[in-house]
Formats: sequence, C-alpha cells, structure tokens
Amino acid sequence: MPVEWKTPEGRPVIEVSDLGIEFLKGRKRNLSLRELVYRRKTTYDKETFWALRNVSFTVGRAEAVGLVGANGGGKSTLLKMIAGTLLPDEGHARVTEGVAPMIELTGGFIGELSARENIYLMAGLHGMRKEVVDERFDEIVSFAGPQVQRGLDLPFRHFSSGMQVRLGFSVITQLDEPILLVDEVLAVGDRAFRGQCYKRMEELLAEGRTMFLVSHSEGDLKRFCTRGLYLSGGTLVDDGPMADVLEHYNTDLDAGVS
Amino acid sequence: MNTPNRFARIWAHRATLNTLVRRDLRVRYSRSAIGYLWTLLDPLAMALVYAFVFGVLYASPAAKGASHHTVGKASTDHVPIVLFLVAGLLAWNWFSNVINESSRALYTERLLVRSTNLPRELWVARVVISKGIEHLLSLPILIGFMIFFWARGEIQLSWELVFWIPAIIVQFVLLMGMGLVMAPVTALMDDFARITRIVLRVLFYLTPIVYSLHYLDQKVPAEWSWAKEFFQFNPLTGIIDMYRAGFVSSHGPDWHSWIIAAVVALAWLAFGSWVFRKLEPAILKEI
Repeated sequence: MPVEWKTPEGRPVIEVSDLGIEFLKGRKRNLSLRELVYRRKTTYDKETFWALRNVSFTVGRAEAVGLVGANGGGKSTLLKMIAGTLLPDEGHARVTEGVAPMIELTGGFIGELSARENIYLMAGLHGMRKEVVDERFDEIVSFAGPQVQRGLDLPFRHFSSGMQVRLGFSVITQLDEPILLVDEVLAVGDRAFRGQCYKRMEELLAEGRTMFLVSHSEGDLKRFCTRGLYLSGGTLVDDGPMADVLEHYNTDLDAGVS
Repeated sequence: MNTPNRFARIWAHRATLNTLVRRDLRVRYSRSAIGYLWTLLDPLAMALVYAFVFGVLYASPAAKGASHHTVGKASTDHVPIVLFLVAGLLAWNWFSNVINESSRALYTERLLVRSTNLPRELWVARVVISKGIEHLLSLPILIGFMIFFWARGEIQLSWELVFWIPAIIVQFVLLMGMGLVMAPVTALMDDFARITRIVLRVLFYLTPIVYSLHYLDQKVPAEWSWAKEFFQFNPLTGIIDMYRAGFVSSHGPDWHSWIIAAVVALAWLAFGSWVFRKLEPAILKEI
C-alpha cells in the first residue's frame, strides 16, 4: 500500500535544527529534598554533558538514512528526539509525519495480559484503530511466527524474549506511518526471523517510506540506506552518501579518532 | 506547545485513553472473582469503623436522650452518621487514590512512556478516569444507604441530588490539576511521595468528612471564627457538600464553598498544566 503524505512534495518531513540535549552526569535518577534545598545555597556544580549539540539536517520523503558512530555518539538519543520521546533543550526537531518507532520494542507489553490483548493494546497505543487491527490481526500473528500463534491466549510473560521482540516488530511494521525509526532491532532474533525482517523492511521502503536506521552492521546499512549521518561525541561530523560516510567512519576508527 | 494545542492533542488521542482505562479496569476486575465487591467493601468497612468511633464512642452528649430515629446529631448535620460518612468517604477515596496513583503514573509506565509518542498528560488522565470509574461504581453504596434511611423516614431526599453531577465534574478538574503536579514531581524527587502521605493523612481530618462544617463553626471558640472560611478554601469541602446536598436538610447548599471549590479546581488545572509542561523534558531524561 503506498504511503499517504501530509507534507507537500519537496518539503522536508524531518527538520532538525541546532538540536541539543543536556544530561546530568552519572546515573542519579532521583533528587532528594535535601539536595534540592542544599543546591540553592551552594554553588552546586551541575555536572552535565551534551549528548547532542548543534545538530542540523533535513530529511525528505522516501529517504533511507543510516546513523553511524561509536557508542555514546548520540545515535539513539537522536532517534528518540525524532520519535518525540525525548524533548530538546536547544533547537528543535520538527517532524511533520507520523512515526513508527522501533525503539524499546517490547516495552509496551503487559505480562499479565494475553498476547492477543497485547497486540490490540500496543497497536492502539501507536494510533491504530481497532477495526484496522482486526483486519491485520492474522498478518501480525503469522509474521511473529507459529510459536506466538500457538500461545495467543497465554499470558504474555510466558513468552521468550525472542518471541516478544518478534511480536513487537510485527505490530510496529503494520503501522501506516510514513516514517520508520529502527534502533538495532535487527541484531536480535534468529537468522530465519532476521531474513523475514529484511524482507519486511524492504517492502516498507519500496512503498516509499522515510527510514532511519541505527546499526553497527555495515551490511545492513549498505543494504537499506542511501544516505548516511555520522555522529561523534554528540555532533554531526558527516552527512553524505552511505558508502562515503561509512568510509569516513572507518578511517576515523582506524586512526583512533572516534 | 501552548495549552490549547496540548488539549487538542489529548483529545485526538482519546481512543488511546479509552484503551488504557479499559486495560486498568480489566486488570482490576479480572484478577479476582469478587473484584467488584472489593470496590464496595473497602469504603463500607471504613465507613463502619468511623461510624463506630465517632458515632458511638465519641458521640456528642447533646444527642443523648434524643431518639436516634428522629434526629441525627448536629455533628453530622442531623443525618445518620453512616450515610453522612459514606458520602464524604467515597469522594475522599477517589481523591486519595488519584493522589497516590498519579504520583507513580509516569514511573510505573516508563517503558511505555519511553517507547510511544503520546501526549504525556494521558498517563495522568488515565489514572484520574479509571479511579473515577471506580468511584462511580462505588456510588451504589451511597444510594443504598440513602434509600434505606429514606425508607425509614430518617432523611428527606430532594432534587438537590443532581448536584452530584457538578461535584463529579469539579472533582475531576481538581484531580487532573493535582495529578499533573504529582506525577512529574514524584518522578524527579523520591521524598515527595512520603511528604504526600503525611499531608493526605492530615488533610483527611482537615476536610469535613467525619464532621460537618456547620458543626465545626458552632464548636470553635469565637476568636477562631475564621476557621470556617479557612476550611472553605479546601476545595474538597465544597465538593463533599455537593454530594451531601440532596439529603442534608438542616442547611441549604453552601454556595460560598462550592464557588471556591470550582475556582480552586480550575486554578489547580492551570497550575498543573504549567508544572507538567515545565518538567516534561527533565522527566523524559530521567525515567
């Protein structure tokens, strides 16, 4: 099915300008009341770092973009900001189309409910109407594989993590959203399932979707992406054809820069 | 994003909200065979305990000798204490359930919050609504007691029962506002949940639930005459008075506290929306 775009042709669907996000150093989740009060009195040294800063680019319709860079370079952070699950401290990431995020795929599932209920819930949370889920239910289940099919009415917590990811993948790829964000999900799952995933993603791309792929696999990046973005230390160091960007990244790796 | 836009976005996701609320209720009522009975038993048990303590042990001497059939006590606006208590307790339960649950609303659902781009206010609205439906499902207790005492001729029912509707609306607005403050602040600051528990316990007795505001006004010394005005600033005072208006005939509706309740509720909603918007980026980083 071809993708329906709301954005006029020629206009960017993703427009990132001067994007910056600042995190506290260390894994301190909670502030205690004492710290909050204490901080006001002293010159509290807020130890922060910018996970991303001064990042600008635009992406148009039907572009397949690969994100490369070492761990901690800001790839996943950028993806989450495009998905809208993180908000910027500087600049903005304007996304004018719906997004199907393959990020933390199994996060939305509830162990207590059955797989069937979870499919409806998950699809509903991503904006799919109930009638559409009814229509595509069989497709979702058959994509997730026979084990999932057999266990449809079992509580979801009895499913193996592999099966959970498969179901997550098959729900998200049934969304009609024009933008697809993929965060290293292809690394999980067995070889047979990976083959299925490749096929499904190629179909989605052939329908003209815009895709963002985060991967450490050069093969995957070259296979799907035409354009590459290279993030290092939170800044965008390269933006160009996928093969050139990969070469740049590899050169940096060899030189020990990145 | 400005406030009207945010409301529009929440409205656009009402189907998702519906899904979440249904899921909550399914989990709540499907786990145990007598799921619905728990909704009734909990406030019923509390009402009986309070009725025993305040209606029997601490019964005001003035009421002694008077036939319990004809007149109730002034401390409960001349209404049987069980009925008086239930009306206050049910509203209080909705209130305290939402305050407790909404403080965890974002953190317990952090996996979903992190993986879906829904308006984050939805996670608070979902708590307020599903607890609100439980509240509605518990109202049959109140209706049951009303019919019981009315049949025995101990109370009169009036058209003022329709004030349940504004009571529910005002309480909903109030709880949305307070939930929007609770959820982000508790997610960022652990101690806040503890403080809230203490405040809730104190607030229970500072709200006319186990006593009537008119009785308080009579009892306090003259130099404390500001106490009534002070209590009227508690929005729950007005809300609970609306729930009781239909069967309390010793005094008319307390318009003053009703208006204050509505204004305070709206102020909370505005304040909550502002706090939530301010803290949203920080929470998304932290959870």
